[in-house]
Amino acid sequence: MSFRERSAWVMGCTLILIGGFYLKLVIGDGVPPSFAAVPFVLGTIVVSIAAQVVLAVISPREASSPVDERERLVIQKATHFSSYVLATGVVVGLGMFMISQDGMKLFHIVLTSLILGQIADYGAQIFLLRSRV
Amino acid sequence: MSQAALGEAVGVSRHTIIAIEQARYSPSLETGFRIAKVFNVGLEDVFGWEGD
Repeated sequence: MSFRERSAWVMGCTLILIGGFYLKLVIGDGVPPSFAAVPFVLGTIVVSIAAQVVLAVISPREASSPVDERERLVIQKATHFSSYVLATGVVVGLGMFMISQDGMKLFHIVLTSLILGQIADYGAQIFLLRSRV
Repeated sequence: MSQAALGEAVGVSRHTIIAIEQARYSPSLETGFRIAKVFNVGLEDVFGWEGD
């Protein structure tokens, strides 16, 4: 497994765990987003940096090498795919807002779309790194 | 020559060399020429096209 794939796995799993916990707090338990957002952002940053440092220590050579042409293509395709996930969520959120006029619901849907879009990005990277590009 | 050494010589990762060998990735023309230059052969000695 390449460094890029390991990195995508770590970032995807981090977002699933921390993003899932955030959504459980905010949507499930009714904690105000203003209270849950700071731990979510800080948690994501700290865990991501720690995981990247560990990966870099394990594979220092690969970690320091620049993204090559195939990896760049994979990242572009994965970002293109994830943009549809984000756009779909935003359109659904705006539609819901037009119907219900509920700004908090719009916030939740857009933030959930952002998290799902990033998870889709990493998932697509893993898939493309293993398949024919 | 190892896959890692070839990758380093042409400026791509070992995994990209593996993907090229397994026909999972068609390299750019520049990388193709670089690979051919490493082996001191022509481009068509390294790569071929079977058509559609």
